[in-house]
Amino acid sequence: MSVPAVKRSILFSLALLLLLAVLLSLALGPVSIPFTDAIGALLHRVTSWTVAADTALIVEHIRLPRTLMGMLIGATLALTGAAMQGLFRNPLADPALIGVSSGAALGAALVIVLGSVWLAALPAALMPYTQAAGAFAGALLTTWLVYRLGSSNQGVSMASMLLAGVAIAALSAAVVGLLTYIADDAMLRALTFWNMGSLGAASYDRVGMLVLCCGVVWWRLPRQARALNALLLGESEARHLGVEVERVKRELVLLTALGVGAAVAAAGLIGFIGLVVPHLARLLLGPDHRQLLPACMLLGAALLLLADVAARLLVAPAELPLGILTALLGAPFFIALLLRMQRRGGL
Amino acid sequence: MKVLIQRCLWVLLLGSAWSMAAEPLRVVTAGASVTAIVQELGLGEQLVGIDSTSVPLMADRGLPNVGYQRALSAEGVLSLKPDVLLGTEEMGPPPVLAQLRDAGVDVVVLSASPDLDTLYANIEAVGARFAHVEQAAALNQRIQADIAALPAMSEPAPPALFVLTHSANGMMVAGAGTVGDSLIRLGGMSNPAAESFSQYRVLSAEALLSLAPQWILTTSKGLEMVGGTDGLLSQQPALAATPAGQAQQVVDIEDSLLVGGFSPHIAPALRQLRETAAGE
Repeated sequence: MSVPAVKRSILFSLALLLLLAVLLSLALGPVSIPFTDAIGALLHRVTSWTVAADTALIVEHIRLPRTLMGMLIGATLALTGAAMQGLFRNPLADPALIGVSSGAALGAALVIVLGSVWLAALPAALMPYTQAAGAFAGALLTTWLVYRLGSSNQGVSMASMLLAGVAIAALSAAVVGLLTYIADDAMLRALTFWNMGSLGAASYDRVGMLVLCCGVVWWRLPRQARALNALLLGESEARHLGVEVERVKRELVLLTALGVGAAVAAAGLIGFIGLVVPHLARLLLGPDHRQLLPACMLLGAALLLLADVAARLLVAPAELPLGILTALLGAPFFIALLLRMQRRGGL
Repeated sequence: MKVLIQRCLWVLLLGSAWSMAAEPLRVVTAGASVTAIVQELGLGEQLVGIDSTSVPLMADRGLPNVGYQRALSAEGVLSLKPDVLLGTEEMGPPPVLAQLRDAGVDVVVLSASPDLDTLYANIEAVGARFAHVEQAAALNQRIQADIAALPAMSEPAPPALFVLTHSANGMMVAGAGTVGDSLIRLGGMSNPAAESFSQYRVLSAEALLSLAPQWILTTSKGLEMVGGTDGLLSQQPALAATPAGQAQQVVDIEDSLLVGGFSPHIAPALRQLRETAAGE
């Protein structure tokens, strides 16, 4: 079945929007660099274009890794958000539901507060990565726990997984609270800023880590589009349509944990992209996951980049935490969406 | 002829090196105490940016604010074209500092340890970095003289607590190893909280009462926000019930003295505390 022309042109416009966002993200920042110089700095290694050394450094080592990280994270958050909404058949679902975010927060908090004691034996070269590693491990572990709690010999029940997710999130929040209590001033600040998310620490190491983890998600998850479409009808209906429901659930949960875990490890908690973007994409393209999933990736990447451009420009030379900006923009939008759906009687 | 050209080149080179040295370095500071040191050494004109904690110190200059010292932005700092970023261990995050170093900014990290020896060492280090060695020595001598001229510590030292923030959930009190603790001890008082914990800790009403402070120290901004001593005591019944609360003995400390280790403006605050402790 071919993609209708209208949908194709919407996807094309989203790709253009992403291209625009990438160009803005490379060209705009507290240091004003003319647009042609920014492009020149990108290409000066392969062409004869010459740019000032400091311009090249800012574009190559600050803006480019930041832009790549924003794209990878935005696309992954939106993609996994759409998958979770499809899997739970719940418009309020987002990756936080399966414990990924709370687990990551717990992992990061453990490293921040107890790391100086527990990890003192680690070589100094590894120290900058401990926080990210803690968040990633926390994300995977709690998701596994939630998944185990949700499964019985009759397979995985989405309802009990949801409840388990809520319970585990509450438990993690309590432990984070306990850690906050014993933390000193510096640790408290580190925790607060981690919770607000930022692309400020972008580096090629992190981009590499994200490409590995998110690459797997981007490659595997869209293949489940048909299964997600079938799941919209209900689990038993999907089973009758020949979908291996249990395998699909396991794969979606695993991929979400991997992608969101990596995203959170690299940039801290960034809310609302995973919740709002799938709804926006559904408004534009309808519920067919075959077009919805790629649209989410394009739109998620574009919106995160635009939010990040705003984060670095609004209070320059200081910087707003990105997670705050996405929530500030995302929450009112979501409320507007909710009101509109209520008026239509569509909820 | 060749020799002549070579000589000319040498003169040019030396000349440019000399003019480069004379060009004042552009400085961004992080931490109010560091900014105060720079200012006291007469280097204030070279500041091109400050962090949010230094804003009250430099209010009349309208300098760009690079944000909170623990959450600096690499490009934001670079947009001010600094030669030197001067801060303490409190500044960060580390990846941003690494990016700034890669971009050729000299990132100078001073100690934030709250004691006088660290303050003197920091002043010396800043003086050495900006070729203001004599001014640094003079400033250190001045502070040392001020400290030496402080009234003697009263015996026995009255117990005092430093309360950083006060909310409905409890009060964050300074334990051992904090600027608040150093202020109390150098101010001729004793800190009963330091015996039971280090860093800042939220204390319950009862724990606070059991420490029986005769003096409460808090930040000027915090005290202003709750409406002065009366406001603080009416909002915190536990505080009002302590000996300090009953005698309305609350002292406020300027906020800029508390960020990034000791400030060079520490001596007048210590004098005020010692006089308070002696009951003058």
